[in-house]
Amino acid sequence: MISWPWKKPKLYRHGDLLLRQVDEIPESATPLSTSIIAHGENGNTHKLHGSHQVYETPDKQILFQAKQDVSLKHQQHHTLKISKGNYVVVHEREYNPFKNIQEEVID
Amino acid sequence: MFSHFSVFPVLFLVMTSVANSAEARSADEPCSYLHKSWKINPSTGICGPTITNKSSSAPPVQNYAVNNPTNTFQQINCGEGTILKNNSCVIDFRHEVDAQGQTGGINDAFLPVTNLFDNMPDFPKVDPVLIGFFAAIFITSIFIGRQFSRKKRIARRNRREWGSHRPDELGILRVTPEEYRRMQAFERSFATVGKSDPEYFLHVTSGAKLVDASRRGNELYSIDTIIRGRSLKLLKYCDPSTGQPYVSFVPEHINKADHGMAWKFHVTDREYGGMGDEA
Repeated sequence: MISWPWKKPKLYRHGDLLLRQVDEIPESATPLSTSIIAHGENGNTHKLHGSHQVYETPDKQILFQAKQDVSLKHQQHHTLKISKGNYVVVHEREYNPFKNIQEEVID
Repeated sequence: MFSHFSVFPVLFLVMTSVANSAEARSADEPCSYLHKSWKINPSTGICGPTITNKSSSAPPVQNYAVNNPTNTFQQINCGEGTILKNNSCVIDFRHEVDAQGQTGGINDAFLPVTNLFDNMPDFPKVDPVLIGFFAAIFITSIFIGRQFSRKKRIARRNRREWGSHRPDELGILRVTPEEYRRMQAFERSFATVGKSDPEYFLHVTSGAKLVDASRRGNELYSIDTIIRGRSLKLLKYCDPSTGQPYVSFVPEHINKADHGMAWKFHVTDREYGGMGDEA
């Protein structure tokens, strides 16, 4: 599939998660039988509702395919409507200036 | 009002006339009916027994009287420990004179005529130069003590050991012990106050300075006092759903609040600017 430069990928933010639209799911990704795309600290989850399929790559990257418009729910955030497409899940990060490292934020 | 002012002089006149009439006594009446032999002393106006001069029988008083012929001793009601002399009450030093005369310490010819406050001790006189000298020693000792206090010694040692610029090795942050303690305190404060009350942490605890604020509500702060020569960047952002503020460190090269937010989500500034829904 051709990625046109003027065609911006859709971006959604849901708490500490960013959903970035991608053209396609990598072939190395394996499907998962779950609707949860991220776990939080206190047992909270980011959960998809609708027709979808979640994938995981060998480097633990989470992707999902929304076969139609789906909704993403979390106990502490509003429900987010996501249009049809392929998405990669990006976690928020933060910087530790004392250890000079980057860490993943867990909601 | 005028009546009040006129009453007091009238009352005063009545009282004085009554008092004068009460004191009136004819010349042939004794001054005391209980002791009819008593006479009024013309010098004091007090009714009392007839005074006879016994100075010749009392040796110390006799000496004093002989040497001071102008003084007359009359045991009249001047009060305990005082005598009447030249129509005024003065302290009676005759017993002291007697004691000193027995020890032979003083010449009787120079017996003092002492008033009540003549024996007050004088305050010691201190040389102002001496006061200035001790003040200078005191101030100098304080100054020297401050210079050689433990805190100053540690600071001098740190400057000596860490003052020269040493390039940080890759992945190693070289700090002084003082900076290390400051960093530990700051990390503890960030982990507690910064997570629970970011606004208080930013504006009260950390002393951070605002660098940039964006229309999306993100704010970038700078803290220069934790690590020498480095400026820590703190990003304050709000949860779109709850509106709750959060603070998070971002790399030091970031100077825009939205740039810091884009860095957090691995996107470019342009992508973050065109972000769709947030929840």
